[in-house]
Amino acid sequence: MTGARSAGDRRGRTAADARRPDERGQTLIDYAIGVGLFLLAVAFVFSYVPGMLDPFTAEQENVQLADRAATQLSEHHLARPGEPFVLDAECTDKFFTGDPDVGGCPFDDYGSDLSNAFGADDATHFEVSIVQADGTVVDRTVPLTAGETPPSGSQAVTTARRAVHYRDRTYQLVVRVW
Amino acid sequence: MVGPAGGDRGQAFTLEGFAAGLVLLASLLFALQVTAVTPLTASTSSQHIENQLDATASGVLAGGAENETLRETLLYWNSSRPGHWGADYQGTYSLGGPPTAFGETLNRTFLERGIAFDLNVYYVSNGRRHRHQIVDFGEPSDNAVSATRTVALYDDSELLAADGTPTGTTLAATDDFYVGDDRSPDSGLYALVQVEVVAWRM
Repeated sequence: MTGARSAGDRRGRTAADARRPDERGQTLIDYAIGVGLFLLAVAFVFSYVPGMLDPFTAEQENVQLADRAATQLSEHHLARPGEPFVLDAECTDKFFTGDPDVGGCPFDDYGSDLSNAFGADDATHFEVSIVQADGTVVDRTVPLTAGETPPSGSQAVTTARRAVHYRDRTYQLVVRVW
Repeated sequence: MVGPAGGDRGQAFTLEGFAAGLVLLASLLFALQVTAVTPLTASTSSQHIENQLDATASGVLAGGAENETLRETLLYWNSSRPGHWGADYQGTYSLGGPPTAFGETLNRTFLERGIAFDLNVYYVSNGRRHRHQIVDFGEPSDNAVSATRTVALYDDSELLAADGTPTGTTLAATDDFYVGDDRSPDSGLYALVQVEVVAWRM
């Protein structure tokens, strides 16, 4: 069978080769349009799919970390016992100055080592500050900000916010993680 | 092996390229339909925002309760012509918080960051739970969050004038306070009310 087919094919191909200029049902333009359309579709799909998956690939880990850090600060470490979101002014000041003499406050000079305070590795950076609505840092006895300055480039910075009561007014506690 | 064109050519026609492209686009369309991602689709990131709104609303209420501004806002009531002072829409504030310290805190925390909020007061009257709206931004969205806090009003709590100063009229002496009559005439307590903040992204 193989021998017979290959012999026949060879004969047919030779004949077809000889006839090709007359019997091909395709021009170069026909081929170019077909492949062009196909490549366009492929390119479109490849450029579209990453955008479609974007909402699911955000940096979830930092989101959790920022949220947890904000909760930990506003409801436990800086808050008065049993009064979440109402900050103990003395402990808050000590936290942000990084005062090693923390007295009865429920933390160990955390403001000077935020990564350690929130149980994160050294590659994760934090900034914690208490700000007014327009973003300026509250400074009533000491400036209430600690940590590093967030990068201004394209790096993603995750933010968590809480409304907290400090001394006699409500401010916003902002935790940034990157 | 031998195609309809008469040769053993392996080259695509326009129609074939077109069909292959259509198959790719159709599969993309299918993927879009099954995932259905919209800005309001529930995901961990919108969960993050809801958590934050929830905690922020609790914080605002806690702060208001701490510095008494929450109770002041509840007492910011015009008893001569029953209604909240300066209410702009059917007895409620619809353009922002009330013109009190707590209202300003609400505006600073929510409104300036593009978040709508309702401020409701729940009270029990004749065995039924009623709702009184102080701030009404309309119907909350599906992703709205709420936080509540219980506030005690006393017989000797004084209603406030339009400029925020006490009028000298106590709750015990007024007839048309929105919470209703004294719940506990024998004690100094007037009523317990539940204040609710509902917040959602506009």
